Amino acid sequence: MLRFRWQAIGLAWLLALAGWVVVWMMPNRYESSAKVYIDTDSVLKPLLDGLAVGTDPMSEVSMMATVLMSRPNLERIARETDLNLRAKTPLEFEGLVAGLPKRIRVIAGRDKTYAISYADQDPKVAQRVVQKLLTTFVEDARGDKVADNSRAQEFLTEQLRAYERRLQQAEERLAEFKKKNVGLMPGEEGDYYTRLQADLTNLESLRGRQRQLLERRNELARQLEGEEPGFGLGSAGGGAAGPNDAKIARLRTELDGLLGKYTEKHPEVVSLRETIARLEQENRDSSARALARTMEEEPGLTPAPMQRLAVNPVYQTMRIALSQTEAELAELRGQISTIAVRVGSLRGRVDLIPEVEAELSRLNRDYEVNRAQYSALLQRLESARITEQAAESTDKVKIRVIEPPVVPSDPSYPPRRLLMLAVFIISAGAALALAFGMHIVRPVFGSKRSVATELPGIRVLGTIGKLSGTTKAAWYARPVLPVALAAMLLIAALGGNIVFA
Amino acid sequence: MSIVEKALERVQVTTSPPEVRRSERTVTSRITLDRRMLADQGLVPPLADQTRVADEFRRLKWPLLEPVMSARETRRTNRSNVWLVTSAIPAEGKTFVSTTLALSLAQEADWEVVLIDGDIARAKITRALGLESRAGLVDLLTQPALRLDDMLVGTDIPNLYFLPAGQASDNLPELLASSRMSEVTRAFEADLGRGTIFLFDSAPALATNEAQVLVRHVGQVIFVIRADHTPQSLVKEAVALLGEKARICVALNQVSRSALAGYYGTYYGYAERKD
Repeated sequence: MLRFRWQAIGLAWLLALAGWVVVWMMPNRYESSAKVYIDTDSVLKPLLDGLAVGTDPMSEVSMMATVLMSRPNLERIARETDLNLRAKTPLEFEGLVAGLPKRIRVIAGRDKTYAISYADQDPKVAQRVVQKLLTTFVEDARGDKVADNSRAQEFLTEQLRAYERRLQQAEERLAEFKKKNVGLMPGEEGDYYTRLQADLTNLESLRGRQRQLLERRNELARQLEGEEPGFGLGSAGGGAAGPNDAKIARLRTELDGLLGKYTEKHPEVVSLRETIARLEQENRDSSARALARTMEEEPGLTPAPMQRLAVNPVYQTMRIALSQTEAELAELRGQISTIAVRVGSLRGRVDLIPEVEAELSRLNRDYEVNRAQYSALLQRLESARITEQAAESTDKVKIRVIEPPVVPSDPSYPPRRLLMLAVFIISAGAALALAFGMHIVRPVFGSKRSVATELPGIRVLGTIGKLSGTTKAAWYARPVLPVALAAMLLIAALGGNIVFA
Repeated sequence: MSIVEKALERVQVTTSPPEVRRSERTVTSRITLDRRMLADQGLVPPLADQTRVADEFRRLKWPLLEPVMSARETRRTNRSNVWLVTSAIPAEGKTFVSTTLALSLAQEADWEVVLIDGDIARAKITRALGLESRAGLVDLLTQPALRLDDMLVGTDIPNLYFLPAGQASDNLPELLASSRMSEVTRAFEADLGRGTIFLFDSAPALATNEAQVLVRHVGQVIFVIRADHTPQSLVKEAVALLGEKARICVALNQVSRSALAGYYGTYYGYAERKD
């Protein structure tokens, strides 16, 4: 491998020189950084805690950082720090501004400290940029807090209004419902049943009365009929209706009395009726026979006798009574039907009671929920207002600059010494690799064994050792010393570079 | 007189009358080897490493000598005494190995070595010995009338002879492939009986095709690989170039001491200190 020492050392020198030149030519970058304390347990957090709009501190910072590094902001910073002087065309300026966000670093540290840093070839510019960033940051953050508070208040107010409306609607719905289902409301059930019962009783009595009146009417109608055949017979007399009239009248009065006490089915009533009917029939028969005789005797009789009936006082009375009774009956019928309808509807609605109950509780709950939310929002709004006033009055600044940016005196990049060393190591490594590689690729014979292996069938006579002492070999052919010298020079060069870097 | 002592003398080219010894060749000239100078040029190990390297080469040469010995004993003549040192790419230590191997062989009483500088283009050994102007291998190939013994250069080491590269030539590969070359190497075979090893130092196999051509004329190839240096791919390529018929052995050169220590332990160091 040593046979390639010159190539190796040559390569090492070449690479080292090239590398060192590159490292020397690398432009310095100076980094200026500032440390800031930002209290992200800000006004916002307690305010919006629990509500949908929540902010976590880290994202708030990154939000601010993003806002901070918005195009207009960056352009402003570029102009105010003379960065824009570096760009000769608008396109270059664009590129400059576009590249800024990558070079500005905002790093979160412990305990709510953040470091903002920027590196540039001109240390003054670096410091200016960070300073500007810092001022913008602080202003923005402060402004943001106020803005956030008022934004929060706006939000709350809007929510309040919405809830107010919902509350109103709920109230209305509840009232409406109550109105619609009056009587079915829980608690009013007693009323309902009482009413129903009252109505039923009423209906019953009315029906009873109706039956009575019907009976009376029928009776009157029958009597009037009975009266009819009375005309023409003893026409002068008028009253001589029949032999049984008095008896019938007596019986009818008795019947009335009975009917007041008993129903139709009562045996006494039944027998009385039969008796009355029989007697009436007898009356009729006799009247009919009389009429027949009269008709035989005087065939020219006309309805005029009817007219005579009209003046019969008994008849008239009876007719009046009949009309009255019918009128009463009609009235009763109306009453009964009204009540019957009411009863029907009441009965129908009783099924709805459980539904109504459920609906009522739902509406109530609805209302309650809305009301609760509304109160909560109201409270929050109040607290936001108070906080705002408090912040304004005490001006609690939650951002503090811990370390302001300074103009760096030493470049932070590139790490020259390290790079010099790296270059050296790489060159040395490459040199070794080259020598090794070439050795592998172009093998030689180092020993008898290699000859035997590579030249099979050829006998190896033996080996002759290297001659010592002074031979006329040129100094460059000698193995170690010159190369070692070259290597040491390289190391010395490295040392020099490191010292002066 | 040890070789070390001789190494302190300067190189001299003399044309003294050849000393005749039993089985020694008659040569027209002799040189004295300056070990220090050779070590400076990287052709032989320096003083500090001599013992160790000598040990190593002793180990190297025996597997090479064995087939020659058995041929000698059975009175066969084959190419086993003609060796070629090559490698895949330059600067792997071929010349060092050839020279040091030659020296190591020359120390054997039973063997004599003819070191031939086959790397005509660079002729490193030839230059190191200051023999550039002399006629050498090339001339031997181009002029059929010339005899090997006439061209050999003797050294102060009795069993060690040297054939310089000779003048550079444009059509060297063709020369090396010619029938004259075959003739020459056939003559080498003849000397197997008297224990002569002909050792060619050549150019890298991938650099030129001299080695490729030469390999057909030799009986043994010593392939030098520089440890931790030559890419395996190139070695494999060179080996392939030399062809299947070649008898190749590998010598791994410039293996780091730490690796060796792993093999041989502290004995090595002890031997060193003793020296």
